[in-house]
Amino acid sequence: MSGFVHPVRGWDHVAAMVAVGLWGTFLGRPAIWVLPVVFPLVMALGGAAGVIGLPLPGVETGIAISSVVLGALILGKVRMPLWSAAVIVGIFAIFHGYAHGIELPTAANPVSFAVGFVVATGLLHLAGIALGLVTALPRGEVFVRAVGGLITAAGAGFLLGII
Amino acid sequence: MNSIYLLASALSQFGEVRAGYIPADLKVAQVILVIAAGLSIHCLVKAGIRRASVAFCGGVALSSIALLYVGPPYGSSTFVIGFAVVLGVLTAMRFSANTATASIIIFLIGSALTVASVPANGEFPKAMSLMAVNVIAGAGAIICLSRLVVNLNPERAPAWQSIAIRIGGSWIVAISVLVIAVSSQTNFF
Repeated sequence: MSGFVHPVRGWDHVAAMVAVGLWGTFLGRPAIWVLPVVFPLVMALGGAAGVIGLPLPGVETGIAISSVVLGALILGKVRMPLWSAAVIVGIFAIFHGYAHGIELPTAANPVSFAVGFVVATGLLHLAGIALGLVTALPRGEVFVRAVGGLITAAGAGFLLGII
Repeated sequence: MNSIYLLASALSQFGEVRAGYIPADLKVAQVILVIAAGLSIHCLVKAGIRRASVAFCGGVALSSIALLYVGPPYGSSTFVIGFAVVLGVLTAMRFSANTATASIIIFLIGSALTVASVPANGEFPKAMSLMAVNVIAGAGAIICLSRLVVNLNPERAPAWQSIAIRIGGSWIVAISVLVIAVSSQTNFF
């Protein structure tokens, strides 16, 4: 359970995860599934780095920047090649994974913790995808871009330590 | 819905059968392998039922003989989870293996499941009956999960089901990588 609530409790994580799903929906197929597939895969590598104890500076800053950048990409309705979107998401996934990974060995049950945080992360992506589906509605795109703006603002708040 | 009931019953029996008989690390590896193998049905479908059955039984038989004469390999759980990672990647990529490759993968699934079913206590060949029950329960769970995936994801299924299967595959890989990382650092099992 602690693994499951770990990504959900931190608003910086929630904002970035939802943004990944949201951006994937915005970019359309195949990004809608490629980004939520790339994220946990690279996140696991970041998590493994955290478990092993490899040094990674600026983890919290990286997580906050992920919200700022991903939110801005949604706000600006930025379209880019799939590979570059995957690289951006992958880079941020390392920071998120590392933050979870350093807590993994101290968890009461590391396996449950790992399962919990991967599943929670995935569900947040799916929540982002579901939210992004409103783009099909009239004014839905405006709504989604506004959510992107909120994510960017929240990210800036995390970065400056206001939130 | 029948597939869900079958899967639940097979997995619960699987858990009961394994409880106390299999080391905890292999228990985790076994569950991850069963889920990964069940989800990868679309990658392996070209093997066909007959070839798949022969390949699976061949893998089980060869591994059983090897276990009997050589004993369980060192780091069995890491090997099994590592193999599950490969299956998860194939599922996430919606890779479609040709007949020969699919048969080889199914052969390896049978081998890995057998390696992951070695009882903690008991000398070979006494432990063989326990291992056989574990392998049968695991195979049953894989078949039920495969059936469930086929039901959920027919050719004309809505796009979200296909997306869900791919995302599921990536979760398997992510969890497996983390489990390997933790097990390499701590004796947590």
